[in-house]
Amino acid sequence: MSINKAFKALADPTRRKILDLLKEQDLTAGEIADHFDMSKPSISRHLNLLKEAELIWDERKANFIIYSLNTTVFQDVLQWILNFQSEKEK
Amino acid sequence: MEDARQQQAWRGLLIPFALILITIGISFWAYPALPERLDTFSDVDWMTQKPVVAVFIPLVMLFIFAMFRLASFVGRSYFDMQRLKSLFDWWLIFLLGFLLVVHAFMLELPSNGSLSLSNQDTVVKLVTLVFAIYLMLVGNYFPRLQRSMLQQKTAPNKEKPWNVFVSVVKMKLLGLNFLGELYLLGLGSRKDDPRLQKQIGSFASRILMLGGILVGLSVLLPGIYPIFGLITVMAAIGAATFLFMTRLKKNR
Repeated sequence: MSINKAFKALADPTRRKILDLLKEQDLTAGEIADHFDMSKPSISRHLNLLKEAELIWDERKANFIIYSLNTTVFQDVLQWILNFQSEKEK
Repeated sequence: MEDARQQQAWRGLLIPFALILITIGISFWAYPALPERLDTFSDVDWMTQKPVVAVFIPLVMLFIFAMFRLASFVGRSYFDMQRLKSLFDWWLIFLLGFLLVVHAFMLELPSNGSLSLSNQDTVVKLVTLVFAIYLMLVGNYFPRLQRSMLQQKTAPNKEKPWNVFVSVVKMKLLGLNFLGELYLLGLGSRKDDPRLQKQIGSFASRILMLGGILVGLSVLLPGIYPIFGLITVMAAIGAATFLFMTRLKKNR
């Protein structure tokens, strides 16, 4: 179900950080990758998981794929709870 | 990706079909016990006949289901339908679920079944629950609606009133009222300040979700108090919206 997918996607801190970045503005995969110290295929895999969970949306513009946020209020709350939990664990 | 498609099919096709089948099942189950004429609040004679009452809501449900399927084709040129698909799927499930309950009431009351739906408290609780789900559904999907292509694709037509008129008439003639409203909603927002839009969207989604949760909790109240809870929450939403908008205008 969608809730499981959203939960799985939000469980990873990298994916949560991607969502935080997209809250500020829409970004391309390259621009997202610039914020992380990992390979582009890894970022692409994270983006695919977020897309499958309907948390982000991609749209082709010229030669680029622009990613934007696609979360619902429930998913935002879920993200906030998981962020809060991981902060607490640190 | 394949998995995501299967899940969308489950939500958009199988659940609505299951709801329609349950409604048809209720008709079959209640039919033998129904009197020949039913009180349907209609002056038209044939509307009170038991075969008509038994098939009316299942047919309405099939019509709504077909309209939602059609909407995804018609709306494609106006909206980012794929992005809003989730909202439409849940909206369809909500409408069909509501009709299923209405149908159960219509047939259970005259057939004196054992569901005890004739209890006034049950009716009050169900009405309150429907409002709670409605508020939570709209509130939950509000951010997605706001971020969709709705504004970017629709707003340029604002300068062409004839196109707007033809598009809305086309949607309404097809019975796609909600699509027409959505289209009109997208017209006014493109030139607004994005920060202001974000503030309004964030407020609207939160107040609707919170209102929905409070209305949902009021179902736990005894007797007809859930209705008072519903009225109080709706009045509070209205007052909070007025105060929020007044403050926004002042700050601008």
